[in-house]
Amino acid sequence: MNLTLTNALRIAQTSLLNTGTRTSVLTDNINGANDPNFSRRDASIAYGPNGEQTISIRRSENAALLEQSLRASSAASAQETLSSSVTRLNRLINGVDGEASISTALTDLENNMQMFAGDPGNEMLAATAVDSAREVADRLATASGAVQLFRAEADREIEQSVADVNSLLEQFKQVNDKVVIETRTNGDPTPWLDQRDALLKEISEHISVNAVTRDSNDMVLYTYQGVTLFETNPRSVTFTPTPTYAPGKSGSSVRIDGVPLDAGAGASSSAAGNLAAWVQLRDDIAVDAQSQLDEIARGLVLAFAETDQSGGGGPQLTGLFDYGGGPGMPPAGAVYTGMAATLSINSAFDAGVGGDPMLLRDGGANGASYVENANGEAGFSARLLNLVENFGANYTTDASAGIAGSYSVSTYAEASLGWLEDIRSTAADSADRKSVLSERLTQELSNETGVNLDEEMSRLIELEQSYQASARIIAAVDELFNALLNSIR
Amino acid sequence: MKISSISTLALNNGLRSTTSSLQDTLVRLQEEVVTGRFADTGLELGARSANLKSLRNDLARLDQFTISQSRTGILLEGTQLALGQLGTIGEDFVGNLVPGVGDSLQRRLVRDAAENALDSAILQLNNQVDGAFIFGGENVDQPAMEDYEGSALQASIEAAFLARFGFAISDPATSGLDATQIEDFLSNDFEPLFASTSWGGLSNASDNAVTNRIAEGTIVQTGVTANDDTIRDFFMGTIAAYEFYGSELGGDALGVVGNFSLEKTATAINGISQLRGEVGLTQARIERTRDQTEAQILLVEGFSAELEGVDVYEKSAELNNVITQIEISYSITSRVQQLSIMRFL
Amino acid sequence: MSLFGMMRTGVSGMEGQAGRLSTIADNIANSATVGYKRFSTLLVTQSVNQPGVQMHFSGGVTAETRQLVSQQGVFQFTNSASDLAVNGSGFFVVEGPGSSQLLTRAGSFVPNAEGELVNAAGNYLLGYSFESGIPSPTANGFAGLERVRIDDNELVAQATDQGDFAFNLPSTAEIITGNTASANLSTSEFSEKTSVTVYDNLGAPILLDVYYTKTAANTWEVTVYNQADAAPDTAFPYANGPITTDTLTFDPSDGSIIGATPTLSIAVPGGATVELDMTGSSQLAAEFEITDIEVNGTAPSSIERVEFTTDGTMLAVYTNGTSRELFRVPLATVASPDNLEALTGNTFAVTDGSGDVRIGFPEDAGAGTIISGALETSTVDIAQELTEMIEAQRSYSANSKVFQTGSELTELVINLKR
Repeated sequence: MNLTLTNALRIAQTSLLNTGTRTSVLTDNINGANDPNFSRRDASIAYGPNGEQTISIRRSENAALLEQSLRASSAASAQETLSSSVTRLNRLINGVDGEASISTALTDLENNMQMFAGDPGNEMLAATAVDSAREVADRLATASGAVQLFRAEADREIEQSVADVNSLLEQFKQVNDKVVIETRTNGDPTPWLDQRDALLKEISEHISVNAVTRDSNDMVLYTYQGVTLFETNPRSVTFTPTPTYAPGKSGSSVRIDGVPLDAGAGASSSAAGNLAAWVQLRDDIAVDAQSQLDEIARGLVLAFAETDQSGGGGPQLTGLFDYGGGPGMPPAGAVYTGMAATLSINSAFDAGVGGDPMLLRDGGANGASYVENANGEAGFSARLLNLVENFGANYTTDASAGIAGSYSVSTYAEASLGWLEDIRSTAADSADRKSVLSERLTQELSNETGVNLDEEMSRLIELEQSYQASARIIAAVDELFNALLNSIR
Repeated sequence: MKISSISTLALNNGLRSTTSSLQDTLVRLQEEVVTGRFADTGLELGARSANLKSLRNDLARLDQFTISQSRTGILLEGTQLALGQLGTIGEDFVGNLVPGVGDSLQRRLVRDAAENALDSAILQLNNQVDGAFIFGGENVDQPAMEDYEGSALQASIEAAFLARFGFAISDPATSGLDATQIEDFLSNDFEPLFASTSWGGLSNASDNAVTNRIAEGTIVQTGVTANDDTIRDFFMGTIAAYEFYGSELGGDALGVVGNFSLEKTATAINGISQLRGEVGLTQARIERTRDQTEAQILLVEGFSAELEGVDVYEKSAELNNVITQIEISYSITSRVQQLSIMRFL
Repeated sequence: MSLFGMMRTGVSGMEGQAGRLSTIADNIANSATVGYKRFSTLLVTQSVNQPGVQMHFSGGVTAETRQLVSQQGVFQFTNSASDLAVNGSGFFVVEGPGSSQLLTRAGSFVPNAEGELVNAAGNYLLGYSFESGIPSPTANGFAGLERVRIDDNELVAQATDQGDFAFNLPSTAEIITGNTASANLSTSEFSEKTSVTVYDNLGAPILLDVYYTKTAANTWEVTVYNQADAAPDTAFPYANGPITTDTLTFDPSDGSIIGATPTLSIAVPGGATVELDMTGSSQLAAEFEITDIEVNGTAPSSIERVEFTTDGTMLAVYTNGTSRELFRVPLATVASPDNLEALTGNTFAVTDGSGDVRIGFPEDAGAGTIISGALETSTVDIAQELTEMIEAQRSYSANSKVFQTGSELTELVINLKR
């Protein structure tokens, strides 16, 4: 390269131009200081052999950390959804602090039965016992309805989430195309990269995302299941909403590129992204909760069943508690789906509709052969005592409802409450941990790629100085030329 | 090159999220210190919520048992008193009973004593405690005994007498009956009337005594039914005296009646003290069960307090720490915000 | 040795300095002309001395003008991608007036109304078109060169015909014993699934569903369907049967595919047959993962912009982000660039002295590279020119003094006769 004054001038000029570019990059950085999706840019200058200075803008990236952060945020979002929804489900079924739980109502019923058994001639106590039985049936039916509403709600959330994912993927395509064009044409893809990372974060809240970068910064997205989410074009995420749920009705699955999305599993859920968490809530947790309600209902029907006293070998029939399939007994040892929803007080006991609460003491809701108190004695307490004891009598429960082991109707109701509280507590704990991790990683990523205003300001001072120095060179060269021109006379 | 490794955003957000999580903790601790329990037991206990619920249910059940026990206790107390009275009545009657007395005044005295005993006994047996006729057995909703005068039993006795001898008890012809005839009548006609269903002519009670559940799996007989053999013996004695001491029976024959009555009443008095002993045993048992239940309640309360309770001192210390932390966090926030190069440029 | 000789020498000196001054004037005038190479004037002595003669006869000087074509100018960076500069010794080949092929370093090209790239002097940039395959330069002639054109209105699409497709299949997957994906029944089962976007002849994107079914240990069936044929929700059965199905066998010792280069041939409906190269695929005890997927082909799209790479390839960048090579700009070199003939418009013509033109591509030996978005500035340094000008001026004055002295002496001699 020729070391000449003219060249010096040109280099100073280029330097001024570069200072301008760097200042604009810096302004960008300062602008984006409070944008969580902004990655700081570095303007680096390469010096060529012929005095050329080329500026290249580098965006600070940390792909590994970003991926970790996405994973953590996916998991945290899913867990957060699970935790808050299970809390809601718990409140729907058990009320605050378990006060409205089936178990509480059952204990009330048991106590009222006990009281009645102690004073079997007391009609008031009979009516009270039947009333508290109605309360139990109502709570079961209400809880069952609430679970179905909860499932419908989850279904709507899934629908919303799927719509969000589809629209995010559309946006992702546009931004990704921009990134690819800018990269291929040596343009400035950085603003688009910021946007793409932001979209990626948003998508990862809904669904697990594995981002793979190809040539030209082109990104391909897979779910952790290995299903393609985006490759050149977005893959469709389809879902057919089910507006109303009944016990036993299963919702449709979310399909990504035709492959059904796996639901999360466990209270500390394996779900990544809230879609999987919603599916888990709708198809797993809520269904188990429903089955448990059905099991409690079945336990009650069994505990209060009437037996043929005539020796005629008639079948066991429903007593105080009746259900949709009554008066016959439900099949033993298996969940009778939808039982809780149809559980009611046998009208034969209901004084409001002409029934007699005293049947509780005497038996015989199913006809004379089922009467135990043959002499109609007011103090007949044998049946009542049996019924009270039945609260504590084990029956064969269905392990598929999520609770395994041997239970009586009271302990099953308690176990069911404990089951949900266990999920809630584990989920909340896990949500805390996962969101702390996610926050940590976000912070780390922000530290890695974010802007520190102080740093930018000190750079600005550097640039100012560099600008002044370049200007000084131009002035000096100008003076030299002046000296030269003045010598020509 | 990167000079620093913290972004302004992370700096500001870090403090914000710390502060908000501290505030959450503050609210939770406040509630825990005030109530002495976990703010959200379900969240804290998880699966052990089932235990807590079970304990709370147990507590409700045990409370119910204590109610049941005290009610049973009252019923038994009533039974005990009534039986005591019955025993005294029997002893008084036996004291007045002179077998084989021919004097009409004395006869009347005996008859009056019998009538008195009969009435008092029926009164005692129709004792009502807490709305229940305690001697009615399971038939708690009606008086255990009818009035003897005009009862079906009296009619049956009279009918049996008429059938055997051809005249009524009040008939002067009774004076012609000898001791053997009366003895035969008493053992073969009179006594069976108390065993058979015609006893129902006097008693409305059920044969089954009332049972009560006073604890898990513990069902006790509460009280004595009026159909108890002892009670029957008692009535056999008093009714025999009542019916025949007012009649024209001869001295020998009356002697038989007197002996019969004495024997039956004495048996009854014996039986009553035995019954009282049995009732006393049940009472003692209930007392024991009640002590046990109370101990259990204490135990269960202890368990559940252990499960859901918090150490208030610990929590209030924690609360103080959190408040200090929040204060520090506030002051750091304000100082960090002062920390900007802009102030020095 | 004569006075007249001395006067002639002074005149020749003046002429020489005048020549220098004229080149300096030219240089200063073109100090901001893109691609201008400064001239320098070299003075050459003219001796009239005879050998063996013990006298000195004053000779003279002649001005020899040289253009320092080989000198590299400093780059000035611009915002236009079609501003080109050569970093090295090559020249752009341009078409001057009368379809003459000329060389230039002035690369300030802009598209004219026809989309042809024209520089400030009105010369057209020449290059080889990619229309008939990858071009190769004609080593020693201008044959095959045509005007570089950017046609903005053009919509292009390219059918997919090849690609790379590498994946890992989980060795732990369960063996499917029922109907496999290739059976195309509603009961068909598969182990894993992915999909690939390819383009048909008209550039319409077609999604291909790729199913992997583990049929036996280390044996997988790969089946490809057109996603457009899928039954709603369940996908199976597809309206049309599988496009292709293949069986892959993996080596249980290292999880690699057994057999020669594994290729999946997919006859895209309405498109070309895509050869997917599955090299690098494996069956390991890891999650199902697509490790590499790259297919060519583009959807119809218009040119977003034009880009030059350092090897002279002009790429059309389409709105969908793909790019296509349109032209390749060659660089011409000559043996002695300083001997080229300078013509109007910063162009040079080949002369006998310069040697024959050799056409090569940028980045090839000796030709240098093309820098897009930059211009090569004039090699003139004003300070140098001014210094030389002062020197030439002084020198001219000195020569005129020589002539004046000669003239005065001659006059003295003539006056002797009086």
